Amino acid sequence: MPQYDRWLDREAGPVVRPYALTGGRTDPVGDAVLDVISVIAATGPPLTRAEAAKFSPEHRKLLRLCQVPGTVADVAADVALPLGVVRVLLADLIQQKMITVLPRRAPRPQASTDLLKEVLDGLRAL
Amino acid sequence: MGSVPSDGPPEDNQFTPFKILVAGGFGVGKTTLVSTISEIRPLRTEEALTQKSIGVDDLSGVGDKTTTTVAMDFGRITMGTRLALYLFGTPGQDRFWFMWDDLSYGALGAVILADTRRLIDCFPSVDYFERRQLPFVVAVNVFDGAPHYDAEDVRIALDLEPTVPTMLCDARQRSSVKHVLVTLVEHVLASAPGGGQGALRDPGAVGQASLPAAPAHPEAPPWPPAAAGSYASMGSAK
Repeated sequence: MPQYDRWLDREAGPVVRPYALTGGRTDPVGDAVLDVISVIAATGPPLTRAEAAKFSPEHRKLLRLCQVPGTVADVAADVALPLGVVRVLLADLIQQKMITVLPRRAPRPQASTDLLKEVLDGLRAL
Repeated sequence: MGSVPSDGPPEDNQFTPFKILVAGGFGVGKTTLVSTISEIRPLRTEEALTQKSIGVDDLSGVGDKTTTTVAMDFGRITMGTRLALYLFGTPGQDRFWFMWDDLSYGALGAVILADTRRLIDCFPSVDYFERRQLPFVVAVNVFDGAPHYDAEDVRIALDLEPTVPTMLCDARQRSSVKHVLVTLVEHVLASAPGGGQGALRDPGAVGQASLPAAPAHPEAPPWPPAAAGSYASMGSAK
């Protein structure tokens, strides 16, 4: 295979300006507040071919990634799209009830302290 | 498809992410610190170049460039199956302040990295976290050839509260970075007397988000009060 001295695929950078993927929208729809560490997950099984046709490639990619619950930051790093763009696209999927934001832990103070102590133990064990 | 998710109490084995910010001036070693302790991944943000950046960013040759892709340092430390610590290096340049509001929302605390040659660079971070009442520690990244001061000198120079831990560190050394993070989490626990309400500034500290179905109030998150407005408007700040 000859080696070409040029950037290909992802290395070449985006072909399309990032917010073109959102149709120019910079504000997420709906009221969902998507923090970078909000945990999101798909609400159903992977899309069938017919269902997938209703979504853009980026939405489909996000939906696939969300089959396993993960944080917004992880998902954004996986799709290699800017965080702002990912937020808009995820909000679309939330609006369509294709993905959901997992409920946060109940704000029980004692549990929070216990969790923090676990984090501390985890750090010390590194 | 499309079933409404259960809104019940999360189970005890639920995955819980925590967020720690790494702040400090440009080139102080934030990227090094994050990559020393965690699996680092590129997280891209696309931001508008503002008027303010003129004279800051070298725009020669890219005259009408209006946005720039900024890679944010993002690292994850996974602890077992249900806990993970996420480190976010906050962009060093002043013009990214608005990103801080978003990042600091629900954060556990912050590490401010300082360089004794440019101590002034970390004043904005100190001010910011003091105003937000977000627990932070100041770690002086000891650079070869930089004048040596002890941690107490730095505390005085930065006019820090006596309760704020300050320490010297080497961002390249895993054990040193680990010590910084341990000190921060201890400080977070200590700043919540009796392990009470303040241990987590907000339930949001554990990967929060309002459920889409619920009548969410993004304009009024319980914490940080001062950041409420700016957080809600984050999306439009691009």
